[in-house]
Amino acid sequence: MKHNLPPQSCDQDFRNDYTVCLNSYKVEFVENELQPIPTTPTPIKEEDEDPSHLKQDLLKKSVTIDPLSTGYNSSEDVDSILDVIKMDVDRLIIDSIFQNEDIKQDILTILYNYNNFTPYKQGFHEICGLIYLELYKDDPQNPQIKIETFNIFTSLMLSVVPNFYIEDNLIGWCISIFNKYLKLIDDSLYDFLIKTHKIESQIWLIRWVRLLFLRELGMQNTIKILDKFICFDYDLCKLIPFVIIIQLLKIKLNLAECEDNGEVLSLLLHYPHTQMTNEDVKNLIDQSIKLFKSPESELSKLGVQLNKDINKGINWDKVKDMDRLKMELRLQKKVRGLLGRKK
Amino acid sequence: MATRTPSRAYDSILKLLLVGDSGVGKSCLLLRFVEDKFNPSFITTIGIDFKIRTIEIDGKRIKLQVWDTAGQERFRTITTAYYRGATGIILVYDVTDERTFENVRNWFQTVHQHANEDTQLILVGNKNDEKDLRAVSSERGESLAQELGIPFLEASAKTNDNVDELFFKLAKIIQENNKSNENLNSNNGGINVNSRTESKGCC
Repeated sequence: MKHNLPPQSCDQDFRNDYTVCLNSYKVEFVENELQPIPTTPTPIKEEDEDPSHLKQDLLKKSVTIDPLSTGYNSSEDVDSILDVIKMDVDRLIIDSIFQNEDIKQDILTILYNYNNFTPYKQGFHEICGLIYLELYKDDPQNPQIKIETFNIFTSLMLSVVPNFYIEDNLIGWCISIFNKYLKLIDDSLYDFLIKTHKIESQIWLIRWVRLLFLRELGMQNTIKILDKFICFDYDLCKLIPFVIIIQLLKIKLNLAECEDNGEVLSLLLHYPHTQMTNEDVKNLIDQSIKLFKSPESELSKLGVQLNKDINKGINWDKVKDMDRLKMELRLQKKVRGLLGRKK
Repeated sequence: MATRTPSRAYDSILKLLLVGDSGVGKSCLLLRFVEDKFNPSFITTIGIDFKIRTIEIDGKRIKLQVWDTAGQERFRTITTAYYRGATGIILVYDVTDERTFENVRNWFQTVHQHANEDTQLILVGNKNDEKDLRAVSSERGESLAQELGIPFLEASAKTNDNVDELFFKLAKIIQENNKSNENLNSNNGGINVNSRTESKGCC
């Protein structure tokens, strides 16, 4: 475990065996503060007419501090939430270690306890599993793995939950942050997605952001990206829109070739990722930080430069919209075909 | 095999939506329909997933865009975007889980709040291969569907029982509805309706 290292030490440690390593908000629960999972359904005595009374008791016992105060409520009771968590933990197939019953129980305990702060939402389980897996890879015998996972997970989710798991905030984020920056950086891509194909960003972004790229970019890439974010204590949620926009620019030519909005959506939800090298990740983060730190008036110029760097062979100063790009790509294909025939 | 083919040649596009409680097998039905695969432990759907398959009905090629939704998201405002433009909705429950069947009514109400009035619904009891674990009889499924006024099928993504039938049946009903709407418009005795669509719902 490296989570007590100061950020600068992480730089030296930025090597092949990346780990989600830093508990940057210093959430420091200890093992015996985790409540065990009730083995039988929460009993409701007949004289207890109002079951919320029981839930109140449970809260009093288990919460010592409330780091979130998110203000969003859930009408689902503890039992049905536990059922959903159990079902999701059974479907946690990011690694074979999660078939082990003891490990499943650890994840269940972490999520059950976290549910006392923040109502469980599907997706928590995969982020929690990812952290557990990284700690497990560091030391499979680590006796503190459960509480360490809980603390890192809680720390990480402090910014992820309010931004991406509270639905109104997520929709607001998509419209007023993501869409805004997409338009500033690549107006043609904004028009293509939102005006031409009428794809509301939240439809596809929900999975990108809630799982922190896990499904879109794959586990190894996600670990590298998160590790870099967390090691250097970058604000994850502020950089995420730029990371996604850069990733979109990487598939801009594929997007241009889509025939209808179904094909566009399909591409956005099945992102064709490849394994990123450390250098690729470093570039991605560096470019994201550059965009984040630049004044808004500079973003369009930086967007053109990114297009030039990422998709070479297109005259980006002339190709201003996606229709033109599509024509350009068809023309190039035709020329290639003719040249091939001559040979 | 019917994997996602970027087939340009199609006569129409239909957007279908799978809804129902978490774990009833929505993603498995979709995976079976589009890729003819089955995986007993399938990852949880977060937000939506999306697959495309082009089918042929009465000589017409129909591109089906099937949206698979997350079971936990029933009450969420974000789901309203999923319902927009859906021509067919598949309400799924698990025949081995009574609770998911009881929730069908809630899903039905949610669908009615968000979908167009002319969206075609179909009720599906999945996992009908699990004979020993069955908790909801076919008769109960049938009778609920009758009460809701929608067609009904039982299916199994695992054994591939009735999966194609489900999607074809729904697509066919939608096609027929579209045809009869067209006929209705063209049989207006020459009265020009200015291609105005009749507003069925309130305001």
